[in-house]
Amino acid sequence: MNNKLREAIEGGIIIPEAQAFASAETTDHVFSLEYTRKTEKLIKRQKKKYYPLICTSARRTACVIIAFFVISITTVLSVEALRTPFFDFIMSIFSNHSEVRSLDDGGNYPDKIESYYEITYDLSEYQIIYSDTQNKKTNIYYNNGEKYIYFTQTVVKRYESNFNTEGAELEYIDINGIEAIGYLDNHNCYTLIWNNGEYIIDITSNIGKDALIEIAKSVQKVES
Amino acid sequence: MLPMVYMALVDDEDLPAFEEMYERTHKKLYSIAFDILNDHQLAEDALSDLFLRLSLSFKKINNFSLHDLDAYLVRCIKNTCYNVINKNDAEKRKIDKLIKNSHIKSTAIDNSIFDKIELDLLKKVISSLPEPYMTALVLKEYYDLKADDIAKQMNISKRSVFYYVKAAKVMILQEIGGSDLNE
Repeated sequence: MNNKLREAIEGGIIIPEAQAFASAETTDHVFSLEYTRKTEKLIKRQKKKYYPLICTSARRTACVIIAFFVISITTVLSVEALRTPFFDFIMSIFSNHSEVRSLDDGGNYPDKIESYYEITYDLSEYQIIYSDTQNKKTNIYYNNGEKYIYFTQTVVKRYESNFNTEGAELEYIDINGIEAIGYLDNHNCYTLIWNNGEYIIDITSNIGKDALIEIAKSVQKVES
Repeated sequence: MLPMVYMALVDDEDLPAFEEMYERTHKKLYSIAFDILNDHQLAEDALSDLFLRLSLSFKKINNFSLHDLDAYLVRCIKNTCYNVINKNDAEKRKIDKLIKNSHIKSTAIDNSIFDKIELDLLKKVISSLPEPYMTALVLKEYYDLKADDIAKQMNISKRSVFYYVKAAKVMILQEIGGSDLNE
């Protein structure tokens, strides 16, 4: 570093820009739901002590490799589950949860939701209490008293989720010829995630594994 | 119980610094971004991208004084807006390519040459540098960041960081008659 250069940068850029920040107006703009979600997620991640270890794709990939070797000798999770690739995804496994995200150079998938998938199983006893459709993701939350089903359809390249896999054993479930990952978490909720070739479908419910598999099999394209 | 249980997996006990910085600054930074981009969606995208990049090297920037941090955030949001505006700008790529093929690569610069320049003139020239060159120079020469951290923040390669910093210095010297200074 050169002191003269540094002094010039301070006088010519740093001081004016710090002043620009001080005098900038505080906007009353209402931030979009997508922005808010993205930011909340980032802030939550930043709070994780291990975030610096997983904050880039390369580091996450390294975590997967390390996790593979560690788990292969500690049998925390099923070896079978880890050795079977999760199509176009990186799965990072931690002691109390797993993170799944799409590969940056994954396959040729739609960039936004162009076809809509829904559960076609008879859910007339349920009420849809929340439904949200965005460019990249749709969420539908069905509720019937204590029972709920949470359905999402996400653009493959935007898929990124944390899963509560503490003490869970991952298993592979056939959903109409497609391999889905399934697990029962410690809140007694069963989750199924699969890539249907176009989008990621993710269903979570407390109605039990077998019933949820039946519902998962009914997911079909309903609108283009 | 909502199935959002997934998200209840984080440690809540520490490191509120990033969140504090976000809460303190995001509305002002949004205003700055909107003034540049004049589009709410683009301004949100720029802000979102900025904080994602800040999160990648937050440990480092969290050590800055408040004054330096505020200036850093303004510099970085301006650079992010520049990237948004020039995302598909073929003209910019053409200029970058032209400069990359120029003599800059082979130009050796001794930093002591800047000691010979009058301070006010140096300030004036630095503050008129084109966006990416100015940001790379400031992050390197004022904040003393490593090329890795600058690359993450500017969303460019490490090699480009070295290039931009060097090119910025060449531009300064050319603007004020570097050849005379060398004599």
